[in-house]
Amino acid sequence: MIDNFLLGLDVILSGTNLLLLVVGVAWGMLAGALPGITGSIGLALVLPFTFGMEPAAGLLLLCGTFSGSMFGGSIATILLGAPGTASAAATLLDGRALHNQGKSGLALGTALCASTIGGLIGAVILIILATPLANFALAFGPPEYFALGVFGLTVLSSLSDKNVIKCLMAGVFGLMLATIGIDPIKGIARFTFGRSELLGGLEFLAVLIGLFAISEVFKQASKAHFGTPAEAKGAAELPSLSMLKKLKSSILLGGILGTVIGVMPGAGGTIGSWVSYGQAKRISKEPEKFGKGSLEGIAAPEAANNASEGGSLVPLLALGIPGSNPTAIMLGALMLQGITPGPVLFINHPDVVYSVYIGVFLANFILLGLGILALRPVLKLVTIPLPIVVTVLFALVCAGSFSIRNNLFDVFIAVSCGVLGLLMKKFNFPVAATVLGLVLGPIVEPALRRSLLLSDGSFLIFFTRPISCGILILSAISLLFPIVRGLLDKRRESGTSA
Amino acid sequence: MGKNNDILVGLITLALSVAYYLMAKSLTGLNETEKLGSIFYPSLLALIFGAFSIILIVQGIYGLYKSKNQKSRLRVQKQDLTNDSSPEKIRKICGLSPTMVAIIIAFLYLPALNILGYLIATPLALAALLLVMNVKKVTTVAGVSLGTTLVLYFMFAKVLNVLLP
Repeated sequence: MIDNFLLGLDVILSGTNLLLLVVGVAWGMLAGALPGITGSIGLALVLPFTFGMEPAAGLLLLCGTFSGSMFGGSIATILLGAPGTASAAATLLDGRALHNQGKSGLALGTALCASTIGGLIGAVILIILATPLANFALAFGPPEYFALGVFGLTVLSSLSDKNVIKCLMAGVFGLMLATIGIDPIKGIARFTFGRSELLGGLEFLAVLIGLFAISEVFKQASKAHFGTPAEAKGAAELPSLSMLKKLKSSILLGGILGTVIGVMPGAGGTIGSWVSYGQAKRISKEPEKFGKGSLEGIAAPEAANNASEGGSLVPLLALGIPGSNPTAIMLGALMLQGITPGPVLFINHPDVVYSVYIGVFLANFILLGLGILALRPVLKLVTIPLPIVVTVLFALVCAGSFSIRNNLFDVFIAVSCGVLGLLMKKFNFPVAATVLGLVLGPIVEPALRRSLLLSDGSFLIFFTRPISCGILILSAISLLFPIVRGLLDKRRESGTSA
Repeated sequence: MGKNNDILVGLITLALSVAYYLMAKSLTGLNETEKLGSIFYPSLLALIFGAFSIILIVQGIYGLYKSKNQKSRLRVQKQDLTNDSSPEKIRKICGLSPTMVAIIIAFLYLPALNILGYLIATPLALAALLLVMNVKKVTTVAGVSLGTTLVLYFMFAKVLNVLLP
């Protein structure tokens, strides 16, 4: 293990890898801070650049972007009242209150410190959990992989939206899109409409750019006005040591809860930050201050959303299951490099795994340094009018999707997926579930068909093997959980109204 | 309104699942008599997608039935809505929403890239997008569209060696 860590350290220190990590954190902070560009869009935008890089270098750039975007999201939240990322929404309550009291600098400084410590907690738990989980997963055969694919789909689907059917439909639609191209078992072209560009399947990156970024361009076109956003108040001010001592329980709680919730596929930083906010209020000595400018109300969710990065990388690296939008993009980056995440990754590419471990750890220190140094220029960039952000974003994503294969067809796919993403958002279908379906399709289909070939067509094979049966039971629980919760909420509501 | 949408969306996705199923059935391979051939998995997905579409339609119909029973309550809610918040008026460009115009620009940009090339088509498309978003200052429109094009051209064509059209 120590050898592997030294190998990872060697990768980080070789060439421009450390610089890429710094660039990733800086870009992530900027992307998260710009309203309209979420962390996922920020990741999707740098994805084309990773194509020509070594796998570890590309992943380090993405890890840095992921870390930076989490804190960047809180910049827009505190200063503009518009959460740059969904996971920064819990910071809005107290961050905005502090901003209105003229303490935005202290709010940002607290968010920065909490993000750093939370991220470090997440990185430690990632290192402890991922390797044993990957070793356990080495015993997996096709039925277990199929069950795992189903689990990934049901968990994300059940947690991302209230309408379970729409979530499942979006997931199955992603699986349908993944069938375009050559049949993985028989080698027959399917649904290609005679286009040679589709033989290798839909270009994942183009679909991703379309569903997340271009749909946002179309959506913002109706909303964008050429006005100057709110002006930033004060510079960054780090909390004193005595203040940090007071905040330590909130930060620790946020860090641990964020990581644990982040490990669960589909839960991600958003749920982690809200749960941490609620629990921090519960254990606080001054719960009445929450919502009125409490530093604890900023520290807990900020620690949680940065810690969730380490947590969400656990199932991605160990099992090949992306638990959130950013990790789905990272999975895409690995697949573009011809690397399949999961237990075999730890054997075939320990350099990639351990450089990611160290990269996630280091990214937090880089975040702290850059946060202190670059906050002032970032504050200025936040005030760029939305039409300009949207226009530059459109040009960037079009050039990015063209650069994948030097092919205009990919730009067409990206723009078409932009329209699809817009329609899906309009009718409340979660785009993330479709992306997950598209990602899991190439894992689920061969695993299902190989399992059924092994069992001579009997579906019992999934229930006679203990691990696959256990995972399928977990899938059923995760699928039923939101339905039962919805019914209980309805009963509670009718009870209180009566 | 939402439930009406669900019925409509359900019908569209049901039609999509039928079309996908028929296309899957028309797949021909070397040994398609096999139970687990190329047809199996897409057909299974089509059936699942179709079943979910039907559930969505049923949910929509049930929601409509329920809302009819609560008509009076809804009417009060509607009144509240109109009193509380006046919905933001969306500008129209030739009778179309800015989103629709942006989509048209994006689709026109693709053939324009092929015909005019990146350096001419991109600033035109970006200028059009800025105008759609009500940016009227000529210097801003020209500066942003030309500046973005040149920066991206340098980044992709010169630094990353991408052969832009």
